[in-house]
Amino acid sequence: MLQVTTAADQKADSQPRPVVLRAQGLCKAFEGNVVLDEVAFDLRRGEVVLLEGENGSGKTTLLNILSGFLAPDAGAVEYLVGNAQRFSFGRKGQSAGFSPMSAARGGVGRAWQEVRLFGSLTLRENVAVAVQNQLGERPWSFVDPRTWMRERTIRRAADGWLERLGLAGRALSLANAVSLGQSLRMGRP
Amino acid sequence: MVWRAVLSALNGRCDVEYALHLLIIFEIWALLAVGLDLMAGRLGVVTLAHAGYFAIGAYGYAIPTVALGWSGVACIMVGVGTATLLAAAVAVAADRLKRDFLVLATLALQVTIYFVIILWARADAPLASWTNLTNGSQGIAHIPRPEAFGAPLEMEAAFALFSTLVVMPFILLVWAIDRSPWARRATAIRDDELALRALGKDPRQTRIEAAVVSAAAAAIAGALFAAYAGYVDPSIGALEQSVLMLAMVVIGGLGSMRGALTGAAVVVGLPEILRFLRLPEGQAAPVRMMLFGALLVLLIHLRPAGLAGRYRLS
Repeated sequence: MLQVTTAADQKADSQPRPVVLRAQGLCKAFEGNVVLDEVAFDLRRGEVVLLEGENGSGKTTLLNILSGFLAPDAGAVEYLVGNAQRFSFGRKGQSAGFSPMSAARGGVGRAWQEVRLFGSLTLRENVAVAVQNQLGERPWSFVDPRTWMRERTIRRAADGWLERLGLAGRALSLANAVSLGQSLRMGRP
Repeated sequence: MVWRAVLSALNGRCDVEYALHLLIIFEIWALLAVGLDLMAGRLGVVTLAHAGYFAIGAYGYAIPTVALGWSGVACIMVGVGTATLLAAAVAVAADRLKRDFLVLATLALQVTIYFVIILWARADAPLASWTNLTNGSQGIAHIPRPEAFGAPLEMEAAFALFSTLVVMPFILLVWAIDRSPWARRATAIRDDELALRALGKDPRQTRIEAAVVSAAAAAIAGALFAAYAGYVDPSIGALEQSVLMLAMVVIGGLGSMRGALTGAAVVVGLPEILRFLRLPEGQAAPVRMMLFGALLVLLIHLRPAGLAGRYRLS
């Protein structure tokens, strides 16, 4: 049994907070074994939500769907951050473009159970690579001075994050060379 | 440069021609290695198709210059255009394939190019006709060199200058790309593609870009080779060439330009060193391959990141 518990800040919420992610009637079966059956919920801004269930009850399946890694058999996922996107699945579904990329554009970030850092990048680069819409990531963009101006901003922001995590001194260390504790701080900020 | 001069002195013919010859061959292999390293080193995509792109570049240069009398510089673009289009198409089509399957797909491409070159030929038809595009296993001889100021670059020094002017900007281009945010993204794809996709970034685009730049490098190298040697045959596009190219970047050190250049120096330098041992004609080639194999095995045990690869010192 899958259960969604919301621990929203309850005090004096006169009007409901805006919904940022909506799941409707999500179904997923693996080779006939039904894992998700009509799962529906709204996630609102500022909420902390606990998803609990036994082993094999479909927690990871649900997370994979919400983060765009897995398409459900039926139902709909609606991302309401920024430009709202709605993906529906099933016979008449409109799921074109549903992917981890679209989920990320819809504001879904994901942390894994184990630490997943880019081992041969430095900690600073690990943070920097997460910055969205980097024009500098085109191969010809090194000729554009804006790329390098943007890089300076990105570097400063990345160092700011590392400082908050207490890793300011390790900005130039490779991710696979830092200690476990340090990588845990990076992986689950 | 120093050791080249020493070698030529050893050979008893300390002439500039020989040094220039080595320089040109080195530049051709260096261009190939630097381009290949972008895929194999940065993105971690093992590809066996590079001898194919090299051959496309070489034939793209040879066929129009010999049969149609086109100018050399334009013909370099023929090969580069064909190879990059092919590379982009394959990168799009094969993007769903991972690891071993992708290697097999590039192997299939390699074999296809090789056999197209061998089989698209008929003895009684003229070169570059519809039934005889490539002259098959006979090869194409008397390929003219590119011209500058109205005269073909027959002198070794002139050709060396030309090849340097072609190769250096391309190597600098790859060097610059390798220091831009593009490389950060490519490295992240190699390390953990899934995690990068969760950040909302599409690895496919980066892979296509790498394939195009890399194939262009191989094709330019092939065109330079055809122009320099004056003769091409299908063996330049054979599978063992692809394996040799891959071995070159692995020996030198994956994922760094320093490593790619070192690998090219080994590929060019090893046969030259063996030459001074004065082995009988039939033994030189097998000995070379044995040494290459031994070097590869030793490196995997002793210096897994290659002769001059990236070492993690932190």
